[in-house]
Amino acid sequence: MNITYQLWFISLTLIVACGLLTALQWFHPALVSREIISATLGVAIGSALLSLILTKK
Amino acid sequence: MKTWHQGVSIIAASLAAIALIIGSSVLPYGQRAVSQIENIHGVSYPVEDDLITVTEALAHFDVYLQEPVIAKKLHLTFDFIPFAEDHLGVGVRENSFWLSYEPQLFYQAGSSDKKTTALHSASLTIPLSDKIQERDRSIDVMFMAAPANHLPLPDPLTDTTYWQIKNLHATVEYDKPSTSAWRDFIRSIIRRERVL
Repeated sequence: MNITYQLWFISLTLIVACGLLTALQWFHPALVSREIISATLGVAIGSALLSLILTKK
Repeated sequence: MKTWHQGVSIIAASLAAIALIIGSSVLPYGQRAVSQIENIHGVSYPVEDDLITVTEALAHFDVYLQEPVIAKKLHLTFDFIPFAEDHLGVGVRENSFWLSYEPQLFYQAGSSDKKTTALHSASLTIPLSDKIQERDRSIDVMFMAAPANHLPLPDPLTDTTYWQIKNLHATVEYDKPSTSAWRDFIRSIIRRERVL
């Protein structure tokens, strides 16, 4: 399993987690903070971009 | 077959990430900020030499939590002068009804001391797992000058309440929630319970 595939996997995982966390926040706003959702999305996007850069090299 | 396997792996890893994120948010503990003590109309009680003078049966303040209420308990410490009050209690709001407090008594006057001007200290612990939390994660706390089984309905014209409080501190600690507290917490998520 190469590093590019692992980064894609992390990115997809965190995007799905982000969606579920947003749904949880809609049900119970105090359960998850917006900062945590933003940070999770940030890491997911960063991971996807890094994977793209490594693929093009 | 491989795509199906990857999909399941991603969903399982997502759920694990969510459990980790929410689980880690339950761990923090320590002192939390409190708001000013106000009457039920949002008017702050007067402060003189760090002593806050409460002149109505109900006195409200917020504790600004940084985490969900599940698996947490609130520890309140403060000093107070009861004067002629017979009963003083404090409670945390439990549901969307504005007066849903179950106060814990921290002072009950004896038969001999009708007017006590001595400074008393109080230290109370209130489980939070079944309490309601605002969008900003704060919780509503109410001081009540009444017996625990008799919530005072405010009547400013006949209210003779007079007592003082200082050095109010709030800390949160880990508290293993009971089965019913878990049930209440999950129900509050499903019903999207909100502070009205």
